[in-house]
Amino acid sequence: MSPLSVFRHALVLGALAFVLPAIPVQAGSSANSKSGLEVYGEPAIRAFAAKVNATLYEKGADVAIIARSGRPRSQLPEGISYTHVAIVVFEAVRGADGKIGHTYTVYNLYQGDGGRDDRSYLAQDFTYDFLAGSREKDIGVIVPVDALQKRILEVIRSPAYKALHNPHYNLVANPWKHQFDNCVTHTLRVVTAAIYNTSDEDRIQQNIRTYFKPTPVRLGMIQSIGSNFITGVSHDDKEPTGLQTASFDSLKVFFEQNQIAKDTFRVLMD
Amino acid sequence: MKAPLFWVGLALMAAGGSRGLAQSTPADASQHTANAASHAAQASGESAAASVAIAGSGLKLVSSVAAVPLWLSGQVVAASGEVAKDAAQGIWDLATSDSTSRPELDPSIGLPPAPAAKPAVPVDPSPAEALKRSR
Repeated sequence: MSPLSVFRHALVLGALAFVLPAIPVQAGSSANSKSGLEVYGEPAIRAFAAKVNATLYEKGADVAIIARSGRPRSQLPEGISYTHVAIVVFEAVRGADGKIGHTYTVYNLYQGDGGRDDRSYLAQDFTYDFLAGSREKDIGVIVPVDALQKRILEVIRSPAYKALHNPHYNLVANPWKHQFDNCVTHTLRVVTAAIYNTSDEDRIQQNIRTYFKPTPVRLGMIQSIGSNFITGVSHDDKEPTGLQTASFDSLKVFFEQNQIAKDTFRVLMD
Repeated sequence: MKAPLFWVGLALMAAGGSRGLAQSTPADASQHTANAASHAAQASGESAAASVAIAGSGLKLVSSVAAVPLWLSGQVVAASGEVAKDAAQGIWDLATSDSTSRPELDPSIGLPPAPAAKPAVPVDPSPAEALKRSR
């Protein structure tokens, strides 16, 4: 390699590295995201988890959709307020002392199966774990109407939950296609399967395309070029009009416009 | 002129790349899974059953909290017969019960144990008084 090509290579890589942090590569949709613990400390996250559990319970949520931001919100693209979305369920849990009690558990799609950023896996944990990765002091909540809560749980407890998961991860997965999945698109598929009481992927896909309006992803020219080089970000499924994905914000609009939300709110850290 | 720009490029790469790398530790993720299996075993007291259920459900338990959802541990499973059996045992679950009869939230479960309160530091007398007292 000539000195000139080494120089060009280094300059391009350097420029990419400079702009890529603006794109949430591992946007907090990872099981090992601990940005909340690092910034706020264990006691604060513990107290926040207790508050989230109590708030969900008071609001009558047995099943809800929750969202956290694993990065400072100022770094997120326009129209995207959170980086990780999951489904929370009130259910029986056995503690370390063998005692059985009821609390909230979280059903996630996490990026990084087998250490690969372009693969995902389904995982369950608790609100404490969810909030351990919350860089911002708030979470977003959508509580579906009662009938839908029960149906979402039925999907989670059925083979459809696993079958609906596409392990090919794309941070900006297009919900109108099922070429890739991320935490929000998988949640959207579970919700749609529950609404129409079906596990037929074509029917689910058709209804998402008809009734769900995605969030356009607006990246600057350099970020857009740079994102082509990131594992876990693909443009392969983008629409002719540009990148679009599902976000908590577009999910909330979908719930509100279709009158299938019992409540939507934020829970703030004290 | 080229050499400084080369190092500027590398420095930018290191500065930007390190942030991404800091968040990408697959080893941590697998450790979480291992911890989860261990916690599941600890929480359920049925190590083999807990591990099998995790593998069979399509879900991994990745919590840092020493607790295991009964559904994931195999005590409440998708098969309707099992759910019915569990309901008969009196464990409330939305899949088989009405929301209006749901039990109280247990604030002690699903969270790491609260750190033990540090013992209060005794209020000592002045050095002279302390020496006098310890004679």
